[in-house]
Amino acid sequence: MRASPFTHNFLLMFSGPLIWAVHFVAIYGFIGIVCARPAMNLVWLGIGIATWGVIGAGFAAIAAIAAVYLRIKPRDAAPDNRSFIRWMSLTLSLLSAIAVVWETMAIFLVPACA
Amino acid sequence: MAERDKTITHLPNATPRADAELEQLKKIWQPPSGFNFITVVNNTYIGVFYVGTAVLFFLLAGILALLMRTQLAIPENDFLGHNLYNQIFTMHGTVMMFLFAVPAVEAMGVLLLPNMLAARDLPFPRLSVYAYWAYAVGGLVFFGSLFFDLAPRGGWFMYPPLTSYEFSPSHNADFWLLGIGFIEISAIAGAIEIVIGVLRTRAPGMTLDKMPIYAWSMLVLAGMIIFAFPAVILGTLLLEIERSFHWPFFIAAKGGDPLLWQHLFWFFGHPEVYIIFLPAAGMVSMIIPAMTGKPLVGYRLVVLALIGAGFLSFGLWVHHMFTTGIPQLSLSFFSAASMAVSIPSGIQIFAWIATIAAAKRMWPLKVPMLFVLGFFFIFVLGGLTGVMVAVVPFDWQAHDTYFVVAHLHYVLFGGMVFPLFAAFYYWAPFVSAQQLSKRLGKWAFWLMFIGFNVAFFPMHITGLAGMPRRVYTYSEYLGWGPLNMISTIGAYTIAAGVLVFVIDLALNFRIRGNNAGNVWNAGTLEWLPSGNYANRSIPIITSREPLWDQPNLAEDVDAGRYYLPNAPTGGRETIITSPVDARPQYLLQMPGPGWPPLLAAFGTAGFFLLLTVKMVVPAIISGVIAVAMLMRWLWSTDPGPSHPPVDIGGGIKLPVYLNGAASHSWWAMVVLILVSGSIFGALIFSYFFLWTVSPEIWPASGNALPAIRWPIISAGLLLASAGTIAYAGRRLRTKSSLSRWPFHTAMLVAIMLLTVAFGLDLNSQSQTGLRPQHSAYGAVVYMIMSMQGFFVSIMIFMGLYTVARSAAGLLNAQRRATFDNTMLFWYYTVAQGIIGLALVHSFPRLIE
Repeated sequence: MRASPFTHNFLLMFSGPLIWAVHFVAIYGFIGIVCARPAMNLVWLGIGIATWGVIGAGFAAIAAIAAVYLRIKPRDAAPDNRSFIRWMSLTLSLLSAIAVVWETMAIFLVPACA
Repeated sequence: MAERDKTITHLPNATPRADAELEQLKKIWQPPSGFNFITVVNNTYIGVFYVGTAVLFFLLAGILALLMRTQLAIPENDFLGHNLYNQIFTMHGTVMMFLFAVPAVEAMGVLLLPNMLAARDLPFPRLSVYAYWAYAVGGLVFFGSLFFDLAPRGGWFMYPPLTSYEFSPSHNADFWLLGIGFIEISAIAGAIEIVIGVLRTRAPGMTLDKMPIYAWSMLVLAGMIIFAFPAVILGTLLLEIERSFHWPFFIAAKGGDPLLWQHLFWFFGHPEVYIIFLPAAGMVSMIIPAMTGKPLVGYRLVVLALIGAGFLSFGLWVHHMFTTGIPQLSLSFFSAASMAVSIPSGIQIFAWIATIAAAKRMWPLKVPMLFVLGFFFIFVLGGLTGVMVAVVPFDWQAHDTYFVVAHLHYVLFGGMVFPLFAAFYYWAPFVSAQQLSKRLGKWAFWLMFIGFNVAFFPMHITGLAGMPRRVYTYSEYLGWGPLNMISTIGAYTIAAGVLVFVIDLALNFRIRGNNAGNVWNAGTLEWLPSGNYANRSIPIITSREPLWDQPNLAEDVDAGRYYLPNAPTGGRETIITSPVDARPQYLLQMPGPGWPPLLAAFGTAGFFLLLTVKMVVPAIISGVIAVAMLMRWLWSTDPGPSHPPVDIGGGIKLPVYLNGAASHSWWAMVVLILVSGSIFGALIFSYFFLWTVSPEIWPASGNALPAIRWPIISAGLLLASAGTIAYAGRRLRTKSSLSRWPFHTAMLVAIMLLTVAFGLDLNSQSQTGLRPQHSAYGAVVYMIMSMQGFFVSIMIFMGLYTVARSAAGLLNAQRRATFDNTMLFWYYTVAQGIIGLALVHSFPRLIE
């Protein structure tokens, strides 16, 4: 089923923050569970699973934000609106990417389950 | 501005128009007279009632603040006892947040949005009426609980275990939990109205990049209400059920956790700050261009900031919980998000400063501008202390002290109250026949500005000196007396400023059916000439400031040269446009005044409030009245294609009815489903949260669960009911009205399948011996089933209502919005049921 122009364009505009939201819930939930279950806190190459998980989620989120922006274009909109939607999608993606990077950097500064 | 002229060369309608057209418009949109006036639905009147009631609650909560400040002015004061003080500080916060701030911003939307978008009214006028009266009546009775020693006293965020049955056995906490219920309903009703209004009733040509910033801010506000309020709705429901039936969601001894409440409350509570700040910021973005004569610098950046802040504000809730023992890394995620949200806030501040720097006309400063500048000063200080408390170690020191009281007032009073007063002075001439007084306005501003800083700046120091929040008195030797006395003097100075404003209103605010006009030479559409029917004709928009950029716009609109200069169906109408490009799609026939929404609102407020004091029978009567009036109200909706397509001008003929995904009612149903899904999502979060905290109470083996065949059968029945509804939909689309019985049978079978599916699951859980009172696991499992049971009840009601409409000949292949909406909600209920079954029956088996 093809999404309506409204659904398509608004999801595109909000794609960055939506991916950020999924990323945020994922890392928060992941750390919550790992810290509540010490047995799950495995180590690989000398680095805990919490660290791997948060770094991996950060890369995945940035990749997803970039992929959506680069691959999906506005649809069925007036020319002014197309440019507006594209611009909004880009800048919201950048803002979301900054938030993802800042949240990921915390893993290098703070112990996972202290 | 010549380089930005956007001239419309061919106006849609020829003039002169017949005088009878204008007379007809006036007659159709005339509010009722005499006692019936209270049934008025026009947004301009409901908007004024709404704003006025919000201001009343601001004054009442302000009086409570003065009582508190009087008590704290000197050490060891006995002006108020601890019990009354606890009730007063709880009511001050609750009333300010739930009865003033959120309603005030929604009320301004109801008042301003239709004219700003050049619509004749909001798309669901009776929903606005319902939302307003439920709020006004319920709110006043809720406030009255103070006079009977029944007001809540657990703080505005009502943390358990203090507020649960063991430590707060009386009705006080129930007043908060159930009393807030109708306010949540009212807020969500308002949000639905605003979303559809902004997306579907914009003037032709008003594409997304030409929407007024205020409309963007209200769209973001409504989106935030849709996703934030459900968490507190669920939280209040869980706590009330724990209090009434002892289901231990928050009781640690039975596997519950008080922190679950904090998560649910603050998932709402922090976005709430932005729910009230972003519309205020939207107002500022409208006021500054009018005051400076320059379009807002960085329009796109400001839209970005509104949307960005709206999203990021959902990642901040744990920064109210930095001292609760959550792992440091998790706290850091929220700390980082708290820092990130300062980016969009900063963008807006710089855009406003840049617009002021480019001002063509700002001097002498007018009253709205004074309040805007006051807002800058205070809000920036609040933002800076916000960055301080976003730093976890600092927050550990400042938490629960007067430093936080100072911070939150700098943010909320600075970020919302000052812009709101700017808005009152700015938009008063839009409603009133004359402007508010410049002289009194300046007095009001300076008293409030100086008073605010005198009251709240010292609280930073009081907090750093160690004074905790919510204490009703303190010892002299602690040395906090002088600072508290200064704060009290400041509080009374604020009150003097507010009093001057009230006097100004009494002297100058006059509603006589004509407004003072475009006194600020502003550029947006609400300043077009208007009457009860809004604008004489609905313009084509080619600019963000049409009154500056489109020559003769006001004159052409008022002469009826644009779309819909008349009332072709003989009733109230507005144009529904497409959500992205604002192309005319159909003509919405709108209802006029009537009693059902008003009585439904009284019934709803009565139901919640009577239930609070356990007056079950009167509560049920009240609830029945609410449902009966809702039925009466609903019965007159879905009129079908009752009129042939109408010519609105420019060769455009619009149908008067559409169903399916283009219909405004379909959109409202989708929004309601998003709200429902958010409530259910919060419940799923609660399930996993409780498992994380207390895995030992989850079933150790599949033996403690119902046999797997039962949920599989239930899921099959749910899917079968959805399939039956799909069959009914096809039947309705293809068959004539002569063969209605297969449709009716299909609907009744679908109801039966849905009900049996629920009953089977309930029975199978019950057979295992699981009881909701035994543990948090039992409580959350039964809560998931109860939620499904509630939705099944609604679907039974909606299904039977649809059958009744069909039997009455009010449903057919064309006139089918009632069925479409029922079908949408049915699919949602089935999806929710299957997810619930999968979670409850699969997860414990997976973790064995």
